[in-house]
Amino acid sequence: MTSIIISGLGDIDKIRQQLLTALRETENKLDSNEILMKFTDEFADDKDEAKMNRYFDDRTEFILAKRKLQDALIMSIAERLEKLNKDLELGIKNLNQELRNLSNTIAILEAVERVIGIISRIVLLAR
Amino acid sequence: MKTKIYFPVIVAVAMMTTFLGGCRSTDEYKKLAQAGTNYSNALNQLLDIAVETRINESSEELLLQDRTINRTFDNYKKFSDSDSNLINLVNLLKKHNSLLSKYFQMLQDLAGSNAPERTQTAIGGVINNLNTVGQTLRTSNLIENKEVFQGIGKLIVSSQIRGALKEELEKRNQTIMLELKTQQELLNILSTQIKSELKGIQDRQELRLVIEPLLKPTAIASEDVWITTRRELLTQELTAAELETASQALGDFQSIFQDFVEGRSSSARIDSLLTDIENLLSVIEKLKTKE
Repeated sequence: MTSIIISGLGDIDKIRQQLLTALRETENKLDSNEILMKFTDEFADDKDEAKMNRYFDDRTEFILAKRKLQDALIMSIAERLEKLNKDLELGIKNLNQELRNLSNTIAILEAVERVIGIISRIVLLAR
Repeated sequence: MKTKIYFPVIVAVAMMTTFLGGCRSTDEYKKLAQAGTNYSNALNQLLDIAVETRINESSEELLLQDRTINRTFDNYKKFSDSDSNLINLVNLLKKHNSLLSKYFQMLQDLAGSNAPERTQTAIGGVINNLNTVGQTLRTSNLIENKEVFQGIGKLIVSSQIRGALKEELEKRNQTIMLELKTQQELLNILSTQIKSELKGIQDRQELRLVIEPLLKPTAIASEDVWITTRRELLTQELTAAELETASQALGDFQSIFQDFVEGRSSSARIDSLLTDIENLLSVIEKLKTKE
């Protein structure tokens, strides 16, 4: 599946995608409950706040780095989609016009219906 | 005799209007437009889930760190900024998505328009009034076989609608194809992201709600609740995988649309896409009830 995604992306996005895949694979080791519990158990024994904070800082940076890559990929897609806005708006305008044209056709027929209705009553009165 | 004259006329008009309007029935256009509307609705829901999982992952991580050691405001802000960034991105995508949704809604309105029926009624009214005039003047109807004219009027308007739909899709073909191709990438990225963040949430919740209470020296207060929580957390991974599969299935819309525009039959595939969209929505629903 990853190769399918990559084939549709630009060069920078390809690198981002590859890096993200690599980070996700590492994440299962670094970000796991086992590693976390190892640090919290040590902290319970040695009360080394600096070491604990450093672990959490690294953890935070790791999560945020992964998110930045994800968001950059989404941003790149959002920018490409925004370029299509104008044409979609044209399509909406065109379809609106078609619906209005249909309404006009019916409105004309209904007007004709009313005019002829009036004529028939005039003709009847004139006899 | 008059019927004999009108019959070939009706056949000729019907053939001509079918030819001018293309081979697709308005029902097929309606179904495609329906698929498009449902698709953009599902995408919106997926975007909402992406935001919710991001925020929940941040909250779980912040609480996890806080349970161990007192952390800084700067640390909180980093997560909060990251959440806000995704919210802004999703808003941008939703704004664009509302255009796509509106486009398909307009297609649906045109394909499902009651204009042919209204035309038929209006023509019927015109003929009735003409016949009243004719009867007054000549004591006979001006137009016999009112239904034939009404039928022709209806056919012409139906053809006009099909022609407009066909022309619009031909004109917008490249844009919609590019749109759906790009959306396919978005679906892949979003579903992988959601799956990964759900796993993150699951790990942290497992630690908070299952492992930590179990490792405490005191016994678990409510064992039944603990069992249910553990089961729900562990099966969440299955739902996340379902979400990934279901959202990636929506990527087929691009080839379905292409087949439709190029005149290849795709009615069954549109039905299948509509089912895929339903599946995705029910997985999203399942995720929401688990939260």
